[in-house]
Amino acid sequence: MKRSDLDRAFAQTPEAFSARIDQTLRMLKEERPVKKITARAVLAAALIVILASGIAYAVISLGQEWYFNNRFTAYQEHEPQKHQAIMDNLQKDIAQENTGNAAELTAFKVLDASWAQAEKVFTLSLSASPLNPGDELHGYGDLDPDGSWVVALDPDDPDTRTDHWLWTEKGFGLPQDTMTDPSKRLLLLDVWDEVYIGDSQVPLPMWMSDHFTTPEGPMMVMMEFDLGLMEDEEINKIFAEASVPEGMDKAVFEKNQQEQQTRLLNLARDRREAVDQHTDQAGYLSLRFPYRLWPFDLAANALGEAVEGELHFSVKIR
Amino acid sequence: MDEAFFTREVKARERSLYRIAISYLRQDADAADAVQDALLTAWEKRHSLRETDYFGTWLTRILINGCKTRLRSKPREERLNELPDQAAQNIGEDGLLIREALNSLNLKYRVPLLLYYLDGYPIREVARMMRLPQGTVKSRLSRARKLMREKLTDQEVFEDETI
Repeated sequence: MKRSDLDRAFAQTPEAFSARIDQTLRMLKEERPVKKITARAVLAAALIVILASGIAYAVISLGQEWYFNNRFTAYQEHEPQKHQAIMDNLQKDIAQENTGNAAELTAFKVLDASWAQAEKVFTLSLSASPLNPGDELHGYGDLDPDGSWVVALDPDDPDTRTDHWLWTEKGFGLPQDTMTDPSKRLLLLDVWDEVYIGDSQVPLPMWMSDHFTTPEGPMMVMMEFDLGLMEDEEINKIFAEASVPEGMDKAVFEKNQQEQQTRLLNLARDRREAVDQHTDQAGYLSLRFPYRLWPFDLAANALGEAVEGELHFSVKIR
Repeated sequence: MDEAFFTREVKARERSLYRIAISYLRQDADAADAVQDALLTAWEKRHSLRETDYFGTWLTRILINGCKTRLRSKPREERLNELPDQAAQNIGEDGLLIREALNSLNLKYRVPLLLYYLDGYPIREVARMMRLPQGTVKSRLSRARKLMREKLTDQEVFEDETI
């Protein structure tokens, strides 16, 4: 069997798939020339805060100042304007409520938010800690990330396993071996859902997200949204300079483009309307974030029933 | 890494990205979503890639991670392993037989097989993408070949069996 035979098993790459890649590539924005900035100043400021406050390290390590200056430094180094805009618009006093059954198990909260309209970016950082000292919290995505977990063991395959394994700072293995304190109950936080505008089903345009368990114990979740996708002008720019990819039928390409453009414009309209409807006179936008908590039975090595929760919060956008 | 480089490298790997994403997620729409997410993530974090020679490995690893995350977020009953039913598309009798054989493979065998035999990545790179030891990748490839051979009895399974 030749490579081409194997490839044929997949049929042709759908044109819509190719068009989506082309569309995504056109959305990329080339960065501006770079000047490195302020790392020293940021460190100095952090040191002052640490010295001035007994709780400083925990606070710094879980907010956007820490995140964008330590874990993800690309903006600081390569898009200083965007980095500065996020820092300049940081809101730390967020009105919020954690609801649902999951709220009885975890202190899940928005730490800070930054609505930087000029740079068309909205960022959110959240932290989660178990309320019960007998619980230990990790990310749902850290369970079996290698894909070897199976329902029924394959006797011919030494790599399959029917036990769930957890990835932590201590390594990868049975949860009781990799948890910080295996005498505790393991809870897994599932933060896959979207952030919705008010009580609508309209989500904000998510650009990227990140989550991890900090060395101090709490989990941190970071999200970034592309506010450009709420503006017709920005969406039309994406499609303005489209050219037919080599080997693709022009009519099919243009039809795909039209459909995608219409879809994004409709979404943008819905988002703008939802934002207007859920922003109060003081300029605060109501948002909600549904999430789930999965209890894990260490003795049975099995996931329990997920418990639902929802964060409600407001950020100042005007 | 500039936009032109990124675009060129992605377009050169479009077919490979499709095969990987569809192997994990089964549905064209899900595969397109996962690849779009992977491209946006890769572009955002492009500064973290020091050696552009490893662009393919790096991007594929991001895509595999994203596919696994999506797969885990689906209800268990939706986590099926088979490739989508594309019987309506003209892939020929041999193509259908090969698809059936591929369908019989667990994802853990199918994905390294595609990366190694179709995309031509060396074992070391496949190991990096899947975050597995090289020995594990070799044993999975060996197992994948054996399973494919059992299904495709009257065909030579792979030209290169030297691993």
